[in-house]
Amino acid sequence: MSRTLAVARIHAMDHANVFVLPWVILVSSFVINVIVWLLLPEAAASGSGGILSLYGFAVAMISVLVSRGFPFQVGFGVTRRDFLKGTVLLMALYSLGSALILTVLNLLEGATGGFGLGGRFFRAPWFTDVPAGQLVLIYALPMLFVLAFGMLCSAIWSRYRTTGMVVLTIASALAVVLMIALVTWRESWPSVGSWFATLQPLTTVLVLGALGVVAIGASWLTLRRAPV
Amino acid sequence: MNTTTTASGNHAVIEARSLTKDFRGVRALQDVSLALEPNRIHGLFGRNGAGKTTLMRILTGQELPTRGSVLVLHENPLENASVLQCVCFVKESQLYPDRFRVCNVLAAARVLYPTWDDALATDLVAAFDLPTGRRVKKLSRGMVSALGIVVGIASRAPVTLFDEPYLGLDAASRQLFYDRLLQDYAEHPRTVVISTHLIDEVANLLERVVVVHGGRIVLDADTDDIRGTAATVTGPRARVEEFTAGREVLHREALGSFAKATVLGRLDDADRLRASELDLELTPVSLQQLVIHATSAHRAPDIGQVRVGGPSVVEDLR
Repeated sequence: MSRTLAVARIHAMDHANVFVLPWVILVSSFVINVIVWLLLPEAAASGSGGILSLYGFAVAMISVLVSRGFPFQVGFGVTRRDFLKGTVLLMALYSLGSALILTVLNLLEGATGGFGLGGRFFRAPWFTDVPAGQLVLIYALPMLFVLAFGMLCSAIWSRYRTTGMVVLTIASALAVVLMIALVTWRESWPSVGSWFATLQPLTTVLVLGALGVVAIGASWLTLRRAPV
Repeated sequence: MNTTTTASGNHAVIEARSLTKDFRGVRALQDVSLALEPNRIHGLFGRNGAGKTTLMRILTGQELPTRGSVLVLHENPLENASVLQCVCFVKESQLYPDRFRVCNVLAAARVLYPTWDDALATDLVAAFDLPTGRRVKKLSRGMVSALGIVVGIASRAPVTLFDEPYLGLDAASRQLFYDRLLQDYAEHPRTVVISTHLIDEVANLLERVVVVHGGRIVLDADTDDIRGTAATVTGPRARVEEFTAGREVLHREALGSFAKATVLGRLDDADRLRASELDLELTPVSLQQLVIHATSAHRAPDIGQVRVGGPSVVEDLR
């Protein structure tokens, strides 16, 4: 456990990336939204995807931590397994920590009537239209999902470099095209539509969390033979 | 765990058995076997591409051998946290996170090496004049090397490997490295392996020398035993010819009527007497010259045929 903790601690030594920049990004996104609310009061209540900036930045953050941190830490005697465990620990703590902060801000936004402007920034439409008790999961699991996929991309980069990224891009595009073709061929668009319509926010984030776990497993298979 | 007992009766701290490593059809290492004793300073020499770095990467569990096995501290180092936290591998190619400052690197090393000595690190940072607040990517090449050296010495890892540790480092700082390494080694003995091309600079530090050439070990012997395995004879050309007749000459150069020849083989008292009768000057050959000889030939170098010391001091050499 101590080696796992050591890996997470070393990741966190990049204070700017882990503790400062995500919130700088989120705050700037929030400020822009507030300006929009002031200029167009009718836009305030419909909400925006501004909160996604935090999730987008998380991908950049984990990419840097893994692609540079992996050769650094393995060079300093960390095993690949401990590196993965420590990185996943950091991801879990980051998802939980940011989810708690977002939950508090969500409740604050609700209590103050959208900061007195009727705005919806932290109360992202649909996703956060759930009982307050589910909010932490609603915020945390998508974060774990984006972090896990960011890590997987970095792991593939660490192991296969450009070739890996090209193959990954082509394979993902191909998978999407195949899925669309399959649904069209089976004439199942109506049932796909109704499936999406019945989807609940909590189910959605649980699926995302499960996909995140799959990505973590794939990251391990990739990193365990990656050169440093 | 069965371990090899080395010549002096100590259990080997680093042991390689028949290591072979292929990279896409290129053989980097061929049947390398090696047993390094605890608490000694070893030199690992060889030309560019000889396989030194590959060997060190396999020894530190960062690379898998194609064939063969490795034991470090009597265990397989691969993915072995309890072994790897006792191994510090300082390499020229070490990558650091972009945003990391010198102090972050030292803090990471403190977390990762249980034997880390903070006071020593602070002392070394001051000695090498390293700016702790500066980002590693902003450091000069020599300063990055100095940082690696600080980590290598202050980690006090029972097994410490330096692979070309001083790229871009000035002569004064290199001397500082030798002095501080030796000083700390005297107080806290550990197993050290230094790979470098500046052989004469480190020659006095070394207790044992391993030379790799074309992926094979061509020399593996105690420095004391290597000393005197060759000598340089200088004098009038005819008399030098007379003296060297029937001996293996590694190198020969003529300066007018004078000649200088490097002869292989330990000289006995009779040889020395004869040399003085012929009015020839005998000088010892430096370790660097011996290594140059061992690694300059395309043919299998023959220096190893001079069996010196105890039976297992010199490995099976070709």
